[in-house]
Amino acid sequence: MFGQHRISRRECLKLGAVAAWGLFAAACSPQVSEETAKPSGTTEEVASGSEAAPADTEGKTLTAEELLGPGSLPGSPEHPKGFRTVLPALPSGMPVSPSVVITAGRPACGATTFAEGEDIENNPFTRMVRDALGIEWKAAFTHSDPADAEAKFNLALASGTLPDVCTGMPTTVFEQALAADALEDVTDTWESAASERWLKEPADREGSTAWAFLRVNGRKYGMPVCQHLAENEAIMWIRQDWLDQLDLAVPQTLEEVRETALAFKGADLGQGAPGTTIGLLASNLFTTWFGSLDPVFGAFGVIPEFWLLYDDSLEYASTRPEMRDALSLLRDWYADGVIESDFFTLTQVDAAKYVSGNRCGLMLSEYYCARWGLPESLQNDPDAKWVYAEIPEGVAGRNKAWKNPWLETPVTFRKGFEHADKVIQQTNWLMELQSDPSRRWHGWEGPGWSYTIENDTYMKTTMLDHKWAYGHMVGASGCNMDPLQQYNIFAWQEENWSDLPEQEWDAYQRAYHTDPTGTEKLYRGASMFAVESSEKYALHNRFVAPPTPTMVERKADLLDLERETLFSIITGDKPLEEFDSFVETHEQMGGGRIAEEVNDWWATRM
Amino acid sequence: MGSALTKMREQVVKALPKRRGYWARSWPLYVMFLPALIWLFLFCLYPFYGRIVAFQAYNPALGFSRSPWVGLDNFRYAFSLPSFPRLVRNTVVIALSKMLVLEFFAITASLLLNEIRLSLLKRTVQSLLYIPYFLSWVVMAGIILDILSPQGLVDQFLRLVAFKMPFLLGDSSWFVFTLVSTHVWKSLGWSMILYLAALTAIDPGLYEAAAIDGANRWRRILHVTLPGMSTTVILIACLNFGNILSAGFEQILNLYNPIVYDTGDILDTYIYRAGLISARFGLAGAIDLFKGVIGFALVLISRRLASRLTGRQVI
Repeated sequence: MFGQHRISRRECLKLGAVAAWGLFAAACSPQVSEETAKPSGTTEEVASGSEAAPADTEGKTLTAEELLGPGSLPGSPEHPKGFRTVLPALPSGMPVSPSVVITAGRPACGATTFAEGEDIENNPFTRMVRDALGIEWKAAFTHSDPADAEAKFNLALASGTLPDVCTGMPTTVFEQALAADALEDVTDTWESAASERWLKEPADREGSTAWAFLRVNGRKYGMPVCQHLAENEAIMWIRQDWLDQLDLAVPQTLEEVRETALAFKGADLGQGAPGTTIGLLASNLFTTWFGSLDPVFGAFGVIPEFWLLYDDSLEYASTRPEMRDALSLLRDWYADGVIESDFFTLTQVDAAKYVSGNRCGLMLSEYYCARWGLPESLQNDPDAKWVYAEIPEGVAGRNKAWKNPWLETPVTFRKGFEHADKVIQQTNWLMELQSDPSRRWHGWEGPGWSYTIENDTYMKTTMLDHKWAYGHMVGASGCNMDPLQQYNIFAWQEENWSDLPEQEWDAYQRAYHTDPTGTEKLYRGASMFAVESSEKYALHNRFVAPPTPTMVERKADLLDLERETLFSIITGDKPLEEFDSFVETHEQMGGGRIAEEVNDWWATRM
Repeated sequence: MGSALTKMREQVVKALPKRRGYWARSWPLYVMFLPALIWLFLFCLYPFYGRIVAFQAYNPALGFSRSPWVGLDNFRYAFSLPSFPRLVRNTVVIALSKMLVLEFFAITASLLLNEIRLSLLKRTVQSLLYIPYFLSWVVMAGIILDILSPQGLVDQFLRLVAFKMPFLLGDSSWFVFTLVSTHVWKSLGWSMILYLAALTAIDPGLYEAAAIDGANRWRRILHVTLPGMSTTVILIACLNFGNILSAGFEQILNLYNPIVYDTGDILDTYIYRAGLISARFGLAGAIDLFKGVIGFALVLISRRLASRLTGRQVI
């Protein structure tokens, strides 16, 4: 009797299987419906908002200010000490009616934040462009770093779902997309739509540099994008307060850099545990950002991984005899403790920690560290006094690595995309807004937006620097169209504002004069200093072009070999003589063939 | 008469439990197996055709079908690399030393644990040894870099006794040592599980008999415990043999740097750099295929060895 009611093993299995399938089905279905529900809700909102705008324009022409309305206007004219942003005249035919929807794959780092209730498709920028120009931006996907970009663009390419506008497309993907005929040729569109003053002049200022990664057989397959000039080029940063304590002057030569570094280290002036102050900051990359060593190589006349011009032909600097001398010096520095014994394992983030933790008082770094690294350093030690100075001098004078402000990862358009002209027109408008300093573009006032005004002073919030949050191009570094934009604005402000009496200061001018964060003046000064220093001392990498066929095949392996050899020689892991066999191996492994290809390109370049 | 007999037989057959077909009985098992089968197909068999990139100059925009064929060019290039012999050598050296050292420590540690009579202490020690296994290599590498860097924990300590430590992560002659020791630190607890299980399977009667015969602890370990777990030891060693070309990608990727390429760069890290960093999918595919073919052969050999040595059919 009991036995009949007991659940048998087989029934248990059946029940289990049914339950498992039920769970499986349950786990799949509701998620799908939730996901589809969300975006459709937001599109409805956006659509209804955009329909309202053209309805107002019926009959009369409205200015951009009138189209935007008080809620979404940049600037803060309502505030007693506010200022007004003067929007440029609308491009002809804009706002587009009905509005066009454009999808984009674009960068957005994890630190990108939005105001409450806003996101990458709905924020002051997207609303401004939608209401004033009639363009609605949708994010097909965002990417956070080059590897992520490569993966996502590759996936989009392989599945045939390339977004209308691709921002930050890696060179490898660009070449592949071009081979598969997936990119729109915008030569004629650019010619007719791009503004002479705001786009064409800056892009053509440096010859063909801006177009090096976009122009194929004389045709343009996208739009160039740049950073601020000299943004990633090294200048010397040094703790003046430490120099004063030790009664030293700012070092001028390599020898003086060595002595200063050892003096800082020996005196152990840093904030860390005893004995943890370092000499000269160095990291695992020779030519970038925090703790770059390129001015040290440059003092010998070479820059690792650069193609330099010698008697009308290009040579690879890493295999030049001068490189051996530079390595010999760095090897001595390493043995003496001028640079840290584990420098080759330090990433940029690790290197920045030496600065923010005040364990380092001397470095060759980019001017941008006045906004990243130095503020933390000042926070931890309010007495820290950082100053910038010229890079040190050596047998070949002062030289440093030039950084091409035009990115190798430009903006491209999907084949068959019909609104490239609208994107270019939007860029005209935005560039005019931001590059003309008298228009007073400083972002939007509001919590979570670009700035707030406290005590009649402009206080930047997180968003202004998070340029990608705004859309595909809004003038901040890395999504700009004029390398000199920031320099020109700073110069204009200095000329027009320095004599302004205090009672006339608006909120932004008060911040400009009083420098409430303590590093903004340093940033302005350093950025202008770096541009001027770049003109005098930057060694140009002459090879600015997509990789040659042998580079595609072999460059990665050659670079592996090069980095391993250079680091091992500096640390003493391998003898200095190893350099000679490296030069030979490099030549045999394809370095020779690459040099031929590079010189062929040089001879026939446009 | 005859009909009555037939009737009776029918009644008897009716009264017997129904014999049902194989499928009627076993379908729930198949249903339960189905998800695993789908998983196997989707993630192991279906992507297998992507292996053809090894013979192509693969371009994701053109896909598998339209990318140009290059024959054995990718293999030729890989084998012509000056660093290729080094990659194979490093892979085998690192994998073998990790395997041998880890097994040695795991066997020793489980023997020691087995001798502990306080079960609370035994369980505590065991749990503590497990913990590192559950941290990912990214986290572990962060900890290890901090501890071993100059001015790190170990260095600060050794400086007190005036001993200059080599930089274990930046010296190619020390790097394998660093890899093996951190691997043992992370995996010891986990690899002990099987040995501890093998130990519990030994008949306690044997120990009692040995004790009565006058064997001390050491003798009992030597003559009862070790022979008792030998099958498991051999089995695990043989199974690991198939992994000889996998030297621990995640660990090395998170700990290495160009200076230790000489002893620390392995096939997997090179494949990663070739395929994901420099987008040479064909080359990466070719080296991975090479690794796969050798690995497959090794698995077959180890399977043979295991059944030969233990007298059991494994896998």
